Amino acid sequence: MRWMLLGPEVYTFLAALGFLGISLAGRPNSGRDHLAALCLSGVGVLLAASALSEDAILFSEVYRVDLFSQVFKLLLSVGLFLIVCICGEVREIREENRSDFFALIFFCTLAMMLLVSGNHLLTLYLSLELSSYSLYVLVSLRRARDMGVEAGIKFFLVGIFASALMLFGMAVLYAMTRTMNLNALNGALHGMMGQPLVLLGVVLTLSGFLFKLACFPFHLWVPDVYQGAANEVTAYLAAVSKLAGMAAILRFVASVGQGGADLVQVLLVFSVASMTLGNLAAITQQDLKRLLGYSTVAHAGYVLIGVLTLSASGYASVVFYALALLVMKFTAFLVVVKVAGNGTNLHINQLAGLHRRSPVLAMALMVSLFSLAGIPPTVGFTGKFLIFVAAMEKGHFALVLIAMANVLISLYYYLLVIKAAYLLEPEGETGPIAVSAPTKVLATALVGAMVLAGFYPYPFMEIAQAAVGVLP
Amino acid sequence: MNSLNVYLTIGAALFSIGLLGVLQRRNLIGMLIAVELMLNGANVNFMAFNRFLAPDPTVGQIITLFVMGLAAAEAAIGLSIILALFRRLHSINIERAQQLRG
Amino acid sequence: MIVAVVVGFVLGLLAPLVVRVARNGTGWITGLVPIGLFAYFASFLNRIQAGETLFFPYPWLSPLGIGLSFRLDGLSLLFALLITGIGTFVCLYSAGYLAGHPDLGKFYGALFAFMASMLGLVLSDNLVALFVFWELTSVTSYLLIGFDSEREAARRAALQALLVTGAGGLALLAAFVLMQQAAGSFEIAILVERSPDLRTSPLYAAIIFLVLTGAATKSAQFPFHFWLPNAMEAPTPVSTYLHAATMVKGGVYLLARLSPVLGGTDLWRDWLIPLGTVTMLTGAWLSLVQVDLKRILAHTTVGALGACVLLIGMGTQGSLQACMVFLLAHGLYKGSLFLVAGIVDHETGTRNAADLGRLGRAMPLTCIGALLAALSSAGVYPFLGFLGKELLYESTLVGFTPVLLAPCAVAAGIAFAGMGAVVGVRPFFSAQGRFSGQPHDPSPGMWVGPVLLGMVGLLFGLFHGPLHSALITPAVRSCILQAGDIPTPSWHGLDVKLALSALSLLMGGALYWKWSALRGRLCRWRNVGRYGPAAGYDHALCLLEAFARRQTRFFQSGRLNVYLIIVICTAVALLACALVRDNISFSDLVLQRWADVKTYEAVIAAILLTATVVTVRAQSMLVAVVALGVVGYCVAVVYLLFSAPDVAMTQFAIETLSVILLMVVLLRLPRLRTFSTSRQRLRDALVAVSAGLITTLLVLVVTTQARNPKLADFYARNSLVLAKGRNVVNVILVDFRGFDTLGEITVLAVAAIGVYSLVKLGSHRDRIPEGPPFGGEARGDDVSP
Repeated sequence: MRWMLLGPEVYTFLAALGFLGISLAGRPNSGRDHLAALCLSGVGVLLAASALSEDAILFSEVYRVDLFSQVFKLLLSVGLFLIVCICGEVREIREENRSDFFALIFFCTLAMMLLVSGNHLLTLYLSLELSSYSLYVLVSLRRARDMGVEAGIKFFLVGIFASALMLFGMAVLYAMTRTMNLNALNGALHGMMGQPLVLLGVVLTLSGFLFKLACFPFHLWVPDVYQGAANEVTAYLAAVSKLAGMAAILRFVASVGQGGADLVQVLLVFSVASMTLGNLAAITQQDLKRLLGYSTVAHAGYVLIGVLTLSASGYASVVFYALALLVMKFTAFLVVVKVAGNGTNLHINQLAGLHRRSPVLAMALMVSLFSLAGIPPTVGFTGKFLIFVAAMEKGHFALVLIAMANVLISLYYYLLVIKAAYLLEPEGETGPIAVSAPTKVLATALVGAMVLAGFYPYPFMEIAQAAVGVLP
Repeated sequence: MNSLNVYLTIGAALFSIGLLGVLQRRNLIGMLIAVELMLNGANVNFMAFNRFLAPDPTVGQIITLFVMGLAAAEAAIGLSIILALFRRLHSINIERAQQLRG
Repeated sequence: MIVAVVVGFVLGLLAPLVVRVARNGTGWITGLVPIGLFAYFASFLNRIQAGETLFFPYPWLSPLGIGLSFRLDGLSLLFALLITGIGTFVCLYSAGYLAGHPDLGKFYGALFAFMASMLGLVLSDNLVALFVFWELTSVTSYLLIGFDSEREAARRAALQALLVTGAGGLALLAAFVLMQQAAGSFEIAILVERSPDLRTSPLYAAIIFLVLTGAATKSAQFPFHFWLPNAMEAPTPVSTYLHAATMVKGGVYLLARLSPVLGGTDLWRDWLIPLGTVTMLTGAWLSLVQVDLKRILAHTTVGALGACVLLIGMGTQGSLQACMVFLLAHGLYKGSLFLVAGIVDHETGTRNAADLGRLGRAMPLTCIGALLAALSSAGVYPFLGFLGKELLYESTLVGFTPVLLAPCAVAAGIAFAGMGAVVGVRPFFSAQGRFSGQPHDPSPGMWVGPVLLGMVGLLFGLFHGPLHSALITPAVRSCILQAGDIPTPSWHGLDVKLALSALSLLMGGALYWKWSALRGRLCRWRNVGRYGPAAGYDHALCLLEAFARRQTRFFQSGRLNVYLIIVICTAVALLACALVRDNISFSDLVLQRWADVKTYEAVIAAILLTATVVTVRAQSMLVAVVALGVVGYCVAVVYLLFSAPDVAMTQFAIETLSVILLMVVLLRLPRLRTFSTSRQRLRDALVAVSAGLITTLLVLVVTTQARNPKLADFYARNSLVLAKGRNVVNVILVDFRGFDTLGEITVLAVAAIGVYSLVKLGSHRDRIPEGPPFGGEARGDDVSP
């Protein structure tokens, strides 16, 4: 019996159940909960790392444990750990909801672990829904004003709408191929991708993943939810939950997409629309979280470029970009959480004079935004570069040019933020921001990671290539 | 074959009418009910394909069972969000929830 | 070699510490770094002179064929020496110029990082590495330009400079990737060998265009020249370093570096020569109307960079030689003039050329430096500037269409001479001076730069033989594949180019004397600038913002219904496209035999559809919920007909549960009315009906197509493999149920905790910030009391 086979999942499940118990026992103590979460998620990272080399197909081929899934599980665990690190005082979530909060993010991470291993449309659907449920609740938990519930209800309705479409697409695919197993689909769809109905089934099924990925046309919830949710929850949404979406869409498209010229066209439209709409809308934003929400939409577009190459190098670039996004987005939100000390939303003007108030945070913000904009030698540049090269290999010149024009637009609004942090002077007197030593270390480490992984990405690229090697 | 057509039409009609409901209702509970209709429609489709086309009938049934379970959980969560919203806004009209935009 | 590049970044991090420790000696200590690097690069002079090209490959992104390879040849060495040499003086100078500034440490950090990036840029032999350093120079320059961040103009200029050069950088990246596509490598050394492939590639024109865009933005070529004068908001040492001596020459460097790869074709000449000429004239012309010392210098720099591009575009041995000499001369005298302008500004508090005068006696040392530079700029024998100008004229005379180019070059030469004098001579000797304070020579760290740079310009001019053999000739060789003997320019007696030189000197002198009057007259034309590229940049940004705002308002209205409509419209459009493309014959679908429908099926269908319509249309929510229940039970009956009793039972149970749950909630809420307005209703109905029609068509088409013969084959072949030789149904049932235990428990747990925490969330009425308590006075249109 190989105990490590489902190690990360079972462990996360037990941890989540533990928090559920604490929550039901009803003695709120946020310090204890945070410490427990920190330890549990830290051990979870180790566990996921040690389960990296597991390989099996379980439960009559509906569940696949392979390098691809294990890499993403490791990334998810790391993401969870990082998020827990900044959840010391979640001001915007009430004391008595605090252990629910931890239970929900553990459950959500568990669902995403199931998602990255799903090898059957039903598994994918089930875990997608599961992770969304936790997020609906997490978003709605925000204390401040009415934003949380409004964001929650919008998130919820768009979400179940997307899942209804996905279900419908699955029904069509099922009717056409009479199977829902990804491996069997891969064989059955061979040569059938030209048929419009199959294409429709695939595209409709994609809607669930596109919703998760915050991609056009399911991107409209993103800015509202990012703005409305508590800062820490938004950080989780942006940094961690996107990972699972990327993994799921990769596995799905790699399984069903081969030879789908029309599918590529559809994805191309989605990609261009996401990039353009996201970047244009971000220009006008004043709320930093909302701005980052639009930037997520734009990044979903870049990710789709890698997906639509339908080539191993494209998939590998997406895996690499997933890692990059995790670090960049998390760093940006670390700054948001720390600067907005009282848990309110952060207006861009509030960043004024940040380089004096907290040089470390200013540095972290600058590097992460440069990285998001794709300025070398940061990891964001390397990721975009890999994606663009993979797309060029497949001859998508026009697409890459559009993407580059978009990168330029995005540079503009990121620069506006950096300008606020570095060049603007605050209007009133604002004291320095108290940043604890661990946070300083964390921020410095993240900056170092972004630059190092950008300048010397070779080991990560190797992992990414090995991971996509198991995809069909 | 024709029976299949009937059931598929039923499924599609459920789905489409549900769609109409989602769009036309401004009342959150109404919208939730309409989405339930859509899910039902998809389920009927699954079961119909399953009954008339599939080589092994269990897959579609299992899917339907799962979807039902998920839909029930979804309804519960949706209702509790709606309740929370009602406590804040004293309304369950979706037009009230338009602060976040732009 | 990698150490030489990296040391700047490392020291950049340490710079704040050094500044804190060194205090007054900051300039001298920090100056040690560039001078050390200068010595290091100078030690290669012999080997380079002997015609060697040194390669320093380091592994980097090996799987992509990208190495961090450096190369040192004549061209790199010339630039590396210029960067480190002038960098030394800038380090010395900055300590005095910015003395006491609280962020001096950060300034030196950025300065070192910039120097390192610039070195990396000119040493890289790999296009990707080159791009990385190229963008790094842009980023560090952003920080340096915005250093005086109190002023809005400085912030704006920094943003503008980075946006323009960043855009160019992206064009460059696209060009590099295309080059890789065409020739299969990012290594310049390999690309040089494969240049015939590139020149005949269909991508060639695109590559040239993109490379030019990149180079033009960096080197402030028309129509991107506007960012350079605006960047004069930067502290003067930054302007000296970035905007005169090094960074703006990056584009010129790139063109020179790539000319053996891409150059020598008609297309290359047809783009570069006009580009260079227009820029040269634009810079020269615009410099005449400026009064700010630094802006004058910036515009003449634009002109000089245009001349360099023009010379590279010609691509002959002579023109490249001219380019290198001119570039070196320009770096020396323009750097010096900038430093002088900074000193004058520092001492008098003004940079307005019209207000300055009589400084010669007060600051003799500065004056000497300024004079040396101005003479070199004017092209007076025996300064290096003279040689540069001679060679420029010679190239235009022997090259292409001399009738056009030579007058242009002379016109530019006149402006360089005259305006150089306005900056370098006029403040010291003009009779009138309106400024405050008692100006005097600054600390040695500040005046040593202009004086020494001026002297170097003079020395190089006097002894240009060794200069040629050591620096210029190797540099030209690295730009031309088959270089012949490169003659050292020598005295040719009286000829046309000497006459042109004399002419431009004379006219330059006249320009200097009559400058004030001329400027007044020219200022009337100032409004033309409203239609220039700078205004274009502003307009483009405004348009972009306006468009962005409009589209955001359209898509992100905050209305959930609009969000859903956008989703549905996209889906409908896709479905419709597919159905139309597939040429579905609709008559087949409609005319299928419906007669076989059994009565009980029709009855159930009728009840179901009626109940569905009631569900979505009912005014009372209670009716809607009841109707939903009816729908659910009908669906359960359908499942029974499908002989799936367990599914049907579950459906019954869950439907009952849902209805009860909804009832409970509804009873706690007030009665609701309102749908949308009638117009919205019409729109929604249209969307929904089209979506419904298409969905129905879709499923019907599925039934006609789902009997796919290929599929049957597939199953016949694979069933054994797929099911691992066992009974599929059993396998799935057993295994699925095993797996779903985890899934179902999680669903339940999530739902439970979700509901639980949300209920807790709502239960604190005291925290609700606004509005009447629950059950109190009704608010709005949808709640009746």
